[in-house]
Amino acid sequence: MYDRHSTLLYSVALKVLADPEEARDVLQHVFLTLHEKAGRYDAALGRPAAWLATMARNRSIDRLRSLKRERTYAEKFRLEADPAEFSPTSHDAPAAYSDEVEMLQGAVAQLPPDQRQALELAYFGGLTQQEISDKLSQPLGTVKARIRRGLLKLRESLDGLLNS
Amino acid sequence: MNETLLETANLYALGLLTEAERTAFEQELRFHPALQQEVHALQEAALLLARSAPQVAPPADLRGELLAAFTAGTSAPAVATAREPIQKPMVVPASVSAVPPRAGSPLKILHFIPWAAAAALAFFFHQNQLATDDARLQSATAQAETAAAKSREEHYVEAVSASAAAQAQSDANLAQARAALTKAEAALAALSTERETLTAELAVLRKDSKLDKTRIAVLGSLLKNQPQAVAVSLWRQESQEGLLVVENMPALAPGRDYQLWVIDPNQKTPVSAGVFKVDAEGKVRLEFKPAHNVQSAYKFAVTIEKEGGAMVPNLEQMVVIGG
Repeated sequence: MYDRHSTLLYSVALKVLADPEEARDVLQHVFLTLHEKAGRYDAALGRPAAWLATMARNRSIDRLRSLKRERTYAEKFRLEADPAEFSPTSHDAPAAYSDEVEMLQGAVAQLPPDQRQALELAYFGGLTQQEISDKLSQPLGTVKARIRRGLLKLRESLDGLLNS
Repeated sequence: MNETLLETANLYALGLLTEAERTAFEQELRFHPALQQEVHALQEAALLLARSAPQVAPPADLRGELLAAFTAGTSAPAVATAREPIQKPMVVPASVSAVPPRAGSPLKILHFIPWAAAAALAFFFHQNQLATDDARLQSATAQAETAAAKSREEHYVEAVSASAAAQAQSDANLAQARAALTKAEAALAALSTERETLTAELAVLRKDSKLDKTRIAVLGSLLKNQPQAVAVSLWRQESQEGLLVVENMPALAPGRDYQLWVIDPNQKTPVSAGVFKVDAEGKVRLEFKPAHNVQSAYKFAVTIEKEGGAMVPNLEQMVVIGG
């Protein structure tokens, strides 16, 4: 379980928090929680990978909000984290890139920029739709539509990848 | 499924609900299979976002650290920061004094026996706890993976069924298209044959130099109740002779005749070219010669007249005309 999912969960935490130490804490928390609550896993709520990713993402966002109270948002959060900064060379273990991951990343990259931006602000930035609306100076309805369409497009891409 | 529920499903998949909203939605989700399916699909899409992050492996020592934390039981801190790493459990036997043995004592070795026993005991329990916790985690996660695999399998079965139905429909459409194509090919072949026949006849006519001097006129129906009535007139100006071929013309009441007229702009009234009746199938083939000379056959028309014909046509009873 750890070997299968740790890279994904750590990467999500790192993307949200942009801090390897904080990302490490999140990963610890997720697996300790899993250890304590695995028996309560409910398949109705999603596949394990999705469940774990959501847990890692939510924990990261909670942590990010906590940190924001201590530091200014601008100093801490960077939406477009530079991947090179967190390159595999800065860690003991190599990055787990694969064809599949590249293909899936391609699906996100192909989203229209406005939809991708709204989704990333929501997913990695932890911003509510109202906060995204304020940040981008766009009507709330527009933000909701971008998120809905973006997610729908990702779903279609995923269907396409599964069927290909 | 209503729009609000779908909107909430989107927000749930992206983790945008508050804890209270999330709990309420999960309650709803447990009793709503269609919603579950929708949410799972959206979660998979959200997972793409997670995978779009640059993939970086966690520090290598974290795995061992976590495993050690598991052995400490559930009382271990939920989160230990990297700056305050998770402490490995320390077991101190109650029966052993914490006072270390005095150096130089002849019985020094004996002082280590309880410590060694305690250490062995601790190691045993440590290993035992490690195995138990790992088995517990493996069992729970295996359960989860099995449930997920079952869900995926059901999804695939549905997809395969849908695919089979689509294939069957596609096959039926293809068969229909093939039948239509066969029919069209047969019609095309018939038309080709007819064209060849007509071309051959035309060649014969041209050879006889007849067609060049023959005027062909098609007379269309004016009958509302018999729109398919048609007549073709072949007219040779030079010899003042013609041939009228009629089809689908209605049979007339007793005491009535069809009368053929040649309309010549140089004459005040149409020139009569004969009277006729049609057979039971509405057909007739009439060779005609107008009552007097026609300078220019502008149009041909057929009217219904009293038996034997009339001097001038009854235009209200015109059935076909053309030129």
